[in-house]
Amino acid sequence: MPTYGPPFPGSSEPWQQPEQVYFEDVEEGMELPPKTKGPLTVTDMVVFSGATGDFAFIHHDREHAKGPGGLPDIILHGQCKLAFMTHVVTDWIGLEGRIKKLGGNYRGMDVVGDTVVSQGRVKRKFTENGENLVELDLWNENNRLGSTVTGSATVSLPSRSSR
Amino acid sequence: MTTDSSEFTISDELKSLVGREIDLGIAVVEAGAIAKFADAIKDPNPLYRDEEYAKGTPYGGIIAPPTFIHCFRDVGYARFNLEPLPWEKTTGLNGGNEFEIYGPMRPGDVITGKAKLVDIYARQSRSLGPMLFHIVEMTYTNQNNEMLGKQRSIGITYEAKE
Repeated sequence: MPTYGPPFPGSSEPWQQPEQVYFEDVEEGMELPPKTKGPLTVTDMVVFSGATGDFAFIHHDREHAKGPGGLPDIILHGQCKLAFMTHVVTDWIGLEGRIKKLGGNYRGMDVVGDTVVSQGRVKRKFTENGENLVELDLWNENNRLGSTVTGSATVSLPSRSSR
Repeated sequence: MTTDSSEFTISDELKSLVGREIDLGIAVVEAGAIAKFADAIKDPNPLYRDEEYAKGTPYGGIIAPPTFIHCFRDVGYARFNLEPLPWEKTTGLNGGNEFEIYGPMRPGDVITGKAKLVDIYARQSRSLGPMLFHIVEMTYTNQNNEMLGKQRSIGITYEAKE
């Protein structure tokens, strides 16, 4: 039985301080380093339920998820899917970048045994009211289903010239 | 899950709930809850756990991950009493969440949440039948009356099977 705490079972790597990205370094079409989570276990889902208090039965009770829920199995929480996706952004923008907006739509259900790879790509960079902003396309790729979350974010980044 | 044409008709009574606002109450951000959330999302960043490390960063101390507000089941997540529904027993799904973020939440922050029901509409799912979508906008303010963020959520309610 895995114990919890870094480095996490099913997470891609132990933590390393990511190198700070600057606005000047960003190009449209650039891909962000992906994050892999999984294969997902029942424990992963219960840990998220415990951390958030989200005890909707579809996330921990297989009999109920398949019966009254009408679902293929217990499914990963939408907010956990989104947080996996957000992890790509927080590591990329580093300590000096800021998330202005971020969101996702849940298009498919991640179940026990699935592996989820969260990914991102630079859509546009622009300056507005003196802020260096970058729009990102974000998504989670499930090994069985393809994309299970499609999302986007707007972030601000530091500039080399203002250092 | 695929949705196409809308099927059942939403009653005027249900539709009249759109625009309703509710207070979600107050919650205190705790360092332990932040670390547990970071564990659950498999993010090993010490910014969420290690005060010594966090002090040396531009944040000057531990902060919560961007979507941490979900940890508060009352303040973070609005439940409107959606009645009358055409079904006796219902279950739900989360269709999506969008955040606007103005500042990080920190240990000790006292967060006040408010929510507004902004839309209700019907959709047909191929696998799960008719569904009611409810769109809610929430705001989160700290003890200094600074708005830290907003959330827009897509809730889905449908008839429980069997």
